[in-house]
Amino acid sequence: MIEMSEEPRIGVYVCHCGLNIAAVVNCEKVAGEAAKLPNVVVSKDYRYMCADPGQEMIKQDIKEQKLNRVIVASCSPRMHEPTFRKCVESAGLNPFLFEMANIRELCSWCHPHYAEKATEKALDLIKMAAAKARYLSPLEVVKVPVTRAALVIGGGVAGIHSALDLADMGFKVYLVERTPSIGGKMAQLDKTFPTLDCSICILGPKMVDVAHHPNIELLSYAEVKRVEGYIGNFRVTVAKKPRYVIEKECNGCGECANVCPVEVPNEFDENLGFRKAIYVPFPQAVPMKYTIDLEACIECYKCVEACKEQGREALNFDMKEQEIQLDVGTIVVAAGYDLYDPSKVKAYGYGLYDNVFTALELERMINASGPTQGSVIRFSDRKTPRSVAFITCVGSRDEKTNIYCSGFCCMYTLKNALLLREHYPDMEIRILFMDLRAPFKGYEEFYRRAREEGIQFLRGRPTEIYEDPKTSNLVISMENLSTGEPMDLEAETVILSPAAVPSAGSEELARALTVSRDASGFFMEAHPKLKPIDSATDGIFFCGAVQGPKDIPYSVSQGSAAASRAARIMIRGEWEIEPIVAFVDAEKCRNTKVKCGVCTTKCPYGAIAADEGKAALVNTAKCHGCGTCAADCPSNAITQRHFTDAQVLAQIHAALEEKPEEKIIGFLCNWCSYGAADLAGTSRFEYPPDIRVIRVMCSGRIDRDFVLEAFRKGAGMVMVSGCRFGDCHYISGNYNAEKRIKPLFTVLPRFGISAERLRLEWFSAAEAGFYVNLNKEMSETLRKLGIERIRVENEKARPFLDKMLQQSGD
Amino acid sequence: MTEEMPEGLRELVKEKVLFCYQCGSCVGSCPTARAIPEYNPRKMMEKLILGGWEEVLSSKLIWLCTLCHTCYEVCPQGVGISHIIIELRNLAAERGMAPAGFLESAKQMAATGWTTTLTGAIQRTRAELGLPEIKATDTEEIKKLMKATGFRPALEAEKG
Amino acid sequence: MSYAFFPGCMIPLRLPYMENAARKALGALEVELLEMPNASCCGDPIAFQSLSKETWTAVAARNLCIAEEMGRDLLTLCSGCYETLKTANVKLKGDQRLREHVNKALAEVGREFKGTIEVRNLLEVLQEVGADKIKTRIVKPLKDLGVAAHYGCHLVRPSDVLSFDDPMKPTTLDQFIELTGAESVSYLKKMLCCGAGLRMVDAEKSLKLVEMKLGYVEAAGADCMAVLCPYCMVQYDLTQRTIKREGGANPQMPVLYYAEMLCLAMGMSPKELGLRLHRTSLEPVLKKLGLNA
Repeated sequence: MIEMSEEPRIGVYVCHCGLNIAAVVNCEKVAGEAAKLPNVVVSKDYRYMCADPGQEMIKQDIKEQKLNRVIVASCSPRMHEPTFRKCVESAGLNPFLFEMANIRELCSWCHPHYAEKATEKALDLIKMAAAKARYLSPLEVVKVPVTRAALVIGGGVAGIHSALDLADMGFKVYLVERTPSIGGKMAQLDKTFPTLDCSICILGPKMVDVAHHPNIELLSYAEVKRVEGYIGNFRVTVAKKPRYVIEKECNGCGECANVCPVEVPNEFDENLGFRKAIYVPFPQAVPMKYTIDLEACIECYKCVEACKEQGREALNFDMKEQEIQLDVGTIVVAAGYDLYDPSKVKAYGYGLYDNVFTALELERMINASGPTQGSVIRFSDRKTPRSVAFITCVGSRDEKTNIYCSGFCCMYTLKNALLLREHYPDMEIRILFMDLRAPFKGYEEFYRRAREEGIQFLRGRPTEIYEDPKTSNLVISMENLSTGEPMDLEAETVILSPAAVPSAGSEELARALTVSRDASGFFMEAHPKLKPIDSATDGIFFCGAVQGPKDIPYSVSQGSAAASRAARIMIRGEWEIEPIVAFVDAEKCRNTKVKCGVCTTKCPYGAIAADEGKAALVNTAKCHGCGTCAADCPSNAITQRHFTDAQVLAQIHAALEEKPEEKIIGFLCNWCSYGAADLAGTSRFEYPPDIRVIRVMCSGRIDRDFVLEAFRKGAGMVMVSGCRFGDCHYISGNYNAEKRIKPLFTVLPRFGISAERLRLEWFSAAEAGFYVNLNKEMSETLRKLGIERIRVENEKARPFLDKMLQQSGD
Repeated sequence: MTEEMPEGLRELVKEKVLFCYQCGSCVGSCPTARAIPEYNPRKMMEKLILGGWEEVLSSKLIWLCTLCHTCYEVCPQGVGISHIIIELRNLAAERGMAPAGFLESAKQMAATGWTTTLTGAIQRTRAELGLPEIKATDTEEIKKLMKATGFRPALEAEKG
Repeated sequence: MSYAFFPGCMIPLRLPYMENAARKALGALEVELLEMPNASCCGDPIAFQSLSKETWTAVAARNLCIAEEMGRDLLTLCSGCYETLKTANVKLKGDQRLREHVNKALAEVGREFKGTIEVRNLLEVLQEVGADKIKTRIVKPLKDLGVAAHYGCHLVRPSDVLSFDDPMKPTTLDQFIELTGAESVSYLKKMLCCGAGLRMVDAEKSLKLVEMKLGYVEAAGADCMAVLCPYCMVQYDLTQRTIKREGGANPQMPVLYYAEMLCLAMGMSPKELGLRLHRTSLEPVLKKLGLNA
C-alpha cells in the first residue's frame, strides 16, 4: 500500500493511440509542457497507453516515483476509465486517484484540421485533469449484495431463450409478457427462413419448457410499470392485468369460448379473422389460460355457466389489476418490435384497396391454422390470385419514413414467395426490390432456391399503386432498372414488406428503466461494437429486435448473450458500486437551525433525509450519484464525491488560465451530452476547438455558481447541457438544472454579460449532429462578439460576480 | 471535366444528389419518361454524381421535365430531382441555353405583366359574361425587379 | 369572408369562363372577392422559375405584397399560381436570409414583404365556407354524373411547402365532387400529370400524356373530367380535336372546371356560365343532367 503523502505527485501519460491522437495532437510537445505543471513529477507520451506495456509503465512509475495521482490523456473515460482504474489499483494506488483527459473523441478526432489549436486544447484538458486530480481523494467502492434473480421483459423468441439459459444456470427468472401468451412475432409466422422450418413447431417446445421450468415464473398479461434501485438491487413494479379468469382454476378446455356469442377481430391473425371475447390467442398458447377482453364482452355470463358444467369455477368478473413487486438483480429487455403501418405510404393503397396485404397478413393466411385455413385469397372476390407481386423496403431506407434497413425483410419476402410457390405451382410470383440482402449462413442459397422455383425478380422501386376499378387488380408503376424503362405491372394481389419499428410502449419502458434509445427509437446499446448487449445503465441488458431489427438466429444468439451478461453479475453474489455519492457537511447544513430540506425535495430516489433539527443525511446505498442535491443546496453544504465543488472549480480555473475570452466552457452530463460529444468524435464530425468540456454525471450537478465562476474567470461562452426532458438518467436532474440555470439568462445581462454567451441545451447521446452544430453556432457567436467586447463585458461584470460568489461561501 | 462545377450546383450535389442510390423511383412515376423513352431522370442524377454535369447542363433533356414534382415526393433519399432540374435550368439559362419558348414567355412578362396575350376578342367575351375589364398592369415594377435580381433575359430584352 | 382575388393570367386572358364560374359560385356563397391593383402574372412556375428562381420569387413576392397591403388572404384560381405564390410565401416567411435578400429587390419598387397573409386555393376557400353551407345552396344535384377527378400537380406538390392534401392520394376534390351529387369515378393513373409543362418544348409528346389520361378515364366509364387548373383545362379541353384515333375519330371527353360543376348544382344555367366556350362539347353532360346548352 502506497503511503499517502500530503503533496500530490502527479504522473501524466499522453497516449498517441497510434495515429488517432498523434496525427493531430503533438503528443510529445504536450507531454513536455505537462511536465512543467505544478505537482507533475512524471510526464510521458507513448503509443498505446491501454496496451500492456503502457499499463506496465504506469504501474512501474507509481512504485518508483511514488505517484499518488495518475492522469492518462487518451480516449473517452466512457471507454477506458475502468481499464486504467484497474491498472493503478493493481499497483497499489486507490483507483479514484486516477483521472482521464479525453484528447481523442473530444479533441483529435473532431478537430483534424486544427493541429495547432488541438494541441493547445489537449494541453488545456490535461491541465484541467491535473487541477481536478489535486483535489481527488481516495474512495472505497461500495459493495452491494446482488439478488440472484433476473427479470426478462418480453416473451418472444429472444426473451424465451434468455429466460431458459438463465434458469438453466440456476437463477430465478421472472418472465413478464404483456400479451396473454408468450411467443411473440415468431408464433405468428408460418415457416422460418432459410430452412422453411415450421415456426410454431420449433418455438412451441421452448414455450412449454418455459412453462415447466422450476426456475421460471411466468407473469403473462402483465406489464412493467416502475423500476427502482440499481444493479443487483432492482425493485420492479409489475401491473398484472385482470384476465377475469382464475389462472389456477382454468385448464384451457375452451368450453367458455364455444358458447361465447361475441366475435371480434383477432389480433393474432392480424385482424383477418375473428376470436371470441373470451379467448386464447392461438392453440399453442403458453400459458394455456383463457382471457376475457372486457371491452368486447357483453357480460352475458354464458361462459360462467359453461365452466360450471365442466365442474369448475374459473371465472371472476371482479378481478382487478394487481400490482406485484419483484426484487431482481438484473434485467433483460426483450420487448421485440412492431411492423410499420404501411397505410402511411398512401401511394401504395394499403387499407384502401382490397388486395394489398402485409407480409404478416400473408403468413397468417398461408398458415394452416390461420383465418383462411391456409388458402391465400383476395379480399375482393375470395379467389386465389393468379399473380402476386411482393414489394420490399416499405417504410425502410427512406428518409421520409425510416432511414435504416430493417435487415430481415428481404429474407422473409423470399420465404413468403417460396411458400406461395409451394402451395400454388402455377402462380406468377414477382419480387420487386432495390437491393436484395441475403448476408448470412444459407441465405444466398435461399435466394438461389427462389430463382430456381421460377420466382421472378424485378429490380426497381414502385412508386404508385392503382386499383383497376373493374377487376380490383393492382397496377404498379416503377422503373425496370435492368432495362432502364418505366413500366406498369399488373398483379392480382400485392404483398408489402413493411419495416420493423420499435414496439409500442418503447418510450414508456425506456423511461421506466432509465435507458436511452437511439435516433430510430430502438433501445441503445452501451457501445455498438464492444457492448452490443449492455445498456448504458449497469445491470440492464438488451436482446432481440428491441435493440434493432434482426432475424431469429441473431435474436436467439443475443438472448443467450444477455443471459450470460446477467449471469456474470449475479454469479458473484455481490457487486461493486462506484462511490460517487453525495455527502453532507453537517456543520454547513442549515436544517439544524431552520427548517430546510430542499435537498429531500430534489432527490428522485428518496436517498436523502432531513429530520427536524438535524443535518441532512445521505443513504449511500440509495444514492445514484446525480449531484442535484449538491447543486440546489442553499447553504452549499452538500457536495458529490469525485465531483466536488472544489474539483469542478479547479477545472474551470485551469481551463481559463490563458486566453479565457476565446474559450467555451462546456458542462456535459455523462449519459447524454457527453455521449453525444463522444459520438461526434467517433463519427469524425469536425467542429472548431473552442470548447473545454467539464464532465459531470448529471446536468443536475451543475451549480449556478459554476456558470458564474466561469464568467468571473473570463470565459467567452458557457454551455450547460444534459439529456432531453424525460430521458434523464437520474429522472429529474435535467428539470432541476433547467429551473436553476434558466434565470441566468435574465440575470447575466443585468451585470453586463450578453445573454447569448450562455447556452442551455438538451440533447441525447445519439445526437452527435446536434452537438456539432451547437459548437459551430457557439464558435460563430464567439467570433461575432469578438474578444474586445467580451473583455469589456467581463470587466463590467466582475465586481458583481466577485460579490455574489463570495456570498455563497466559496 | 473541363470546368469546375458552379458553386450553387456543387452545394446541391453535395447536399442532395450524392445520396441517390439509383432506385428508379423518380423514373417510375415520371410522366415525361412515359412519353419520351430517352428521358431518364435517374441516369441524369448518376451523370451528375460521376462528374458529367456539363453534358447534363447543355442537353435538351433537362427542358423536358414537366415539373410535376412527383419525383420530389417519392424519392426515398430526398434528392428532390425536379428541384435539381430547376437549378440546372437556371444555370443553363445564364449561359444562354434556354429554349426560345421560355424566353418568349419572359419577354411577354416584361412587356405586359402577363405571360399570355390579351386579345380584343377576349375582352369582348369577358364583357358578354359580365366580367370586369382587364386593366393594364404596371410593368415598370416587373422590369425593375428583373433587373434587381440580375435576370439575364431581361437585360437581353432591354437590348432588343 | 373576403379575399384578395388573384385569377392569374391564363384564366382571365384565355379562359374567362373559369373566372366567371368561380366568381358566380363564390358570390352565391357570400365570399367577397377584392381586386388586387397592379397584380401581374404570378411568375409562372414552369417557364419563369426555370429561367431564374430568384426573379420568380421576387415577382411572386410583389404580388403577395399587394395582398398584404389589402390586409386579406390571397385566393388564386390557378394551381400554377397557387404553387408559385404559396411557395414564395412559405419560403420567405421561414428563411430570414432569403427574405432580406428579396426585400432588397422589392425595396427598389417601394415594396416590402412582411409575411402577414396566407395563400389559398379554391377548394380551401370552399372548405372554409363549409360543406353544410354549400349543401344548402345545392338545388340541382348532379345525379348519375360520373366524374373523373383530375387534381393536377401544382395543387398538391411539393407537399412539404403546399401542405394541402396528400401529394399521391388526395381526397379533397373527390369529396367536393360528391358534394354536388355527382359520383367521383375511380380510374387508373389518377395523378398522371396533364403534360402542360412539356408543351412548350415538345407539343407532340405532351399530347401523348393527354391521350394516356383520356384512355384511362374512358376505360373507367366516366361521363366527364373535372379539373382545377387552367393549364390542365387547356391540355384536356382544347387539344382533343387534334388527337386523331384509329378510324379518324377524336376523343369526346367533356372537361369541366369544378366551379362550373358547383354552379350547375346550384341551379345556374349553362348559358350564364358560358359553357359553350369549351372547345370539347359539353353536350353529353348537359343532356345527362337534363339541361339545355
